[in-house]
Amino acid sequence: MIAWERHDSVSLVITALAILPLAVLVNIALEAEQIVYTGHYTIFLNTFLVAIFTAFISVCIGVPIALVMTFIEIPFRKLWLVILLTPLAIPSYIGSFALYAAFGTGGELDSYLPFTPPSIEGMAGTVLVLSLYTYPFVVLTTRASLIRIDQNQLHASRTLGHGLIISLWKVVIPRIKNGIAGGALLAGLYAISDFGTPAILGVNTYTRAIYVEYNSFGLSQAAGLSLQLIVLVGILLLFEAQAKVPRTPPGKMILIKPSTMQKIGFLSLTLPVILLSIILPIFIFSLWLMREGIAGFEFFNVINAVSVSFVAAIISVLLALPIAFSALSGKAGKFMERVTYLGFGIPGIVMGTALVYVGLQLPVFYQTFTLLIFAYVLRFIPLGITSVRNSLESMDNSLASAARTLGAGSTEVFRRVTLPQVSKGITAGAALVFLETMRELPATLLLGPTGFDTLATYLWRVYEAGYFGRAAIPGLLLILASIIVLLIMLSTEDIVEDNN
Amino acid sequence: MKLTVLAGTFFRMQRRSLSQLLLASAIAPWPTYLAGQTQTSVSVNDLPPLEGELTLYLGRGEGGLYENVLQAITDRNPEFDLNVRRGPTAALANAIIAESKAGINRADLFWAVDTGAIGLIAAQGLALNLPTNLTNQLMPEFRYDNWLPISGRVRTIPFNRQRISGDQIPTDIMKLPDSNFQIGWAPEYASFQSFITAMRIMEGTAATKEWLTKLNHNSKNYAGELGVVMGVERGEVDLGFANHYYTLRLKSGKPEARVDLAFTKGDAGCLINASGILTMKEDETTINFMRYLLTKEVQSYLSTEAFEIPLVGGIASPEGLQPIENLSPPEIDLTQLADLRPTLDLMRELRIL
Repeated sequence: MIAWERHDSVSLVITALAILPLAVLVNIALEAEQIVYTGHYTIFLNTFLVAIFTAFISVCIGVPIALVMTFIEIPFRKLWLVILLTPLAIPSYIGSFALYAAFGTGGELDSYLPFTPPSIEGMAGTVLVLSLYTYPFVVLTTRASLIRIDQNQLHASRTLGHGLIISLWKVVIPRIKNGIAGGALLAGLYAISDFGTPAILGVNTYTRAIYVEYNSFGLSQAAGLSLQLIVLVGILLLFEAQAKVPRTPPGKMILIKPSTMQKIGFLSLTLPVILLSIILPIFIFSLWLMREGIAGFEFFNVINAVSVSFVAAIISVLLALPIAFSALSGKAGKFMERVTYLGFGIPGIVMGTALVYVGLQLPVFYQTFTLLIFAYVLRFIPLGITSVRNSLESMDNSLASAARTLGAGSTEVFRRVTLPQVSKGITAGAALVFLETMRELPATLLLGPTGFDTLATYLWRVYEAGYFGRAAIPGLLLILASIIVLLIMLSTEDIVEDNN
Repeated sequence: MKLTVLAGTFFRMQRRSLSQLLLASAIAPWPTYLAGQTQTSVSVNDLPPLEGELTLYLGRGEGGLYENVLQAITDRNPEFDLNVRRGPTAALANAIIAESKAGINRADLFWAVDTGAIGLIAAQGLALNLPTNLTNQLMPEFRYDNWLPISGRVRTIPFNRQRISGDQIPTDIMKLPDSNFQIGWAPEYASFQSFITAMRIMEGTAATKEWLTKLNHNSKNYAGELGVVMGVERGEVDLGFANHYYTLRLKSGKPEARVDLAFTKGDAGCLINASGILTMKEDETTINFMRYLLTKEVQSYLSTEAFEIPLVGGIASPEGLQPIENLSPPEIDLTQLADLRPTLDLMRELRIL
């Protein structure tokens, strides 16, 4: 039996806050005058398939990228990594609209290519697009757990005659299962709650049913359907909880020094992903912008977007730390951790409306930055928790014990032993929350101060108005701002490590 | 062509600056404001300057040009502060109701693209009555006590003129299923649901159910009504159901488009729906702000740039659409269209939604 500790009390408070909007949803759902439309079973099936396949394809894209970006010495590695993470800052509806417009007969690319590219639509298209905009979850969570793999284990495997790929598969992958599963979970949850992509590409999912209800003022029904979604969220949470990793003492980092040709080979493998998720949407929107003509320069408040996202990221990881500790120290903690995930699987607009009710209980905070940041943190704290917990899981506890034996206080142990070991997890969590907040829309619209604009709200306005070309410049700014902030965040990793 | 068409539509649209238009006339002295004037459009020059501060909740849909209108009004009135909260119409309507339940008033005005949202707020008793000298500026069929229609859109039947001719299309919407056309529709789209709601109210649930059942055999689903019009133009279907402006926008970008508009007579098929504004604050500035939205400058702008139908008399309909006098919309209280629930149930029962 593990004793109740201070961090558990903090976790309890955070869990209670996370339940608050869910309780409001239950309350709204119960107001329905008639039996809530439960949806056809195909809706459940479609949503489940979109979630599972998106998680799977995200892993297929994300894990190799994480391996390359961690083990292989390539020039400007951090910059590459950061560029490969930025699709997370792009709203997926922007990406799916651009890809839908680009591909297929009569699509924008049709006239530039010698052949007609296949169209992107339906279940396959939805999974592809959602994977392109969620794989960075997997990259970051995997990278955070890769960092502690001992080079000697890989060498031992290779000495025993296994090739590099086999060795990676047999030695490395089993030790980073938790990181991969964590990222896959986040990708799956995102896919479940995404509004735009299934609608644009024509798949009948829960979000479509919720959208119809919400827009026809059936808030109770929308809330009821959202609660049904929680069942799916629960299933994904159970899957992910199966991933257990053996704790092994960390050793020297694996570092492979490839030849120049190999470097070019590795990097070109990442090109299709960058091309489809970043370059193509910007290209398509720029194309339309040129046809439309630039209608005067508009000042985009980049600072707004960056500053709220940054604050949300810092607070989220700070609050994620106690929950991650609790999750690893007992069943109650694990339960509390799972509860905080539920909100991430509920469509943002429904969650945003529930938080309006929560905010109105404390009118001083209603339509202020405080409430907005609170909403971001509640929505995105699972991103921080996943990353921090995974790096804690692969941490070597004997080091902390040794430090305690040598007379270090708990604060000193945390600062000098634990923190450096989980620094990659903390930065990964902060980066995920930052990027996700950059593209967040419903909470920003519903809960922010009146007139508060971010790049995401601007993108939404031009998209809704049909001025698609005007999405080009804010889209590009979203990517550039994310790259700069992520580079700064990742450089703190080195500082923490260098100090020790 | 796919989306190039759609993109071209917007790109070739001439966007004159309404601000310039409004400011150019600002030098003229203010004539006395004529109270009780009916059915003739007022110029911005006839209006008193706006003073004070207002908060507007702007529910957005496909319109998009309302932003320019608001900018022009604030540019013209330096003593006037307008705070705008933007969001999806349904989300803002929900927020307004939640605020009122909590006893907190943040929104002075609510401008929605959808009469359903207006009906919802009005049903909660939150919309204040408007002075008749304001509502009387609208054509008689658009006068309501507690909300102000701003611009209209009519239900139309876009058809592919290479596949069928306009006179093959019955002028009675209820006769359409007998003609065996391939049709395109967007069941998730709010305006389509309002159209079916109007049919249900006018013709009864049984007739509407039969109509939907018959057409469902020959229908193709689209994500939105711009998609319907594009599908008709490409010849994927013979005809479709869509708000008028999608076809007008498509044709303004691509004059050779193979799509024309047909209208039914006196039934839900040619329903005129409206965007509208309501006030939750009893205040002179609020009412005067609404007067600006009915000026000939703003109404002409919405007509020429957004292809929406002006609802005050004496302003030309958008290019490519017959004058509103030639249309024969059904007589129906638009706020009744908020009763969507039975419509959704019906569409679900038939597996259309």
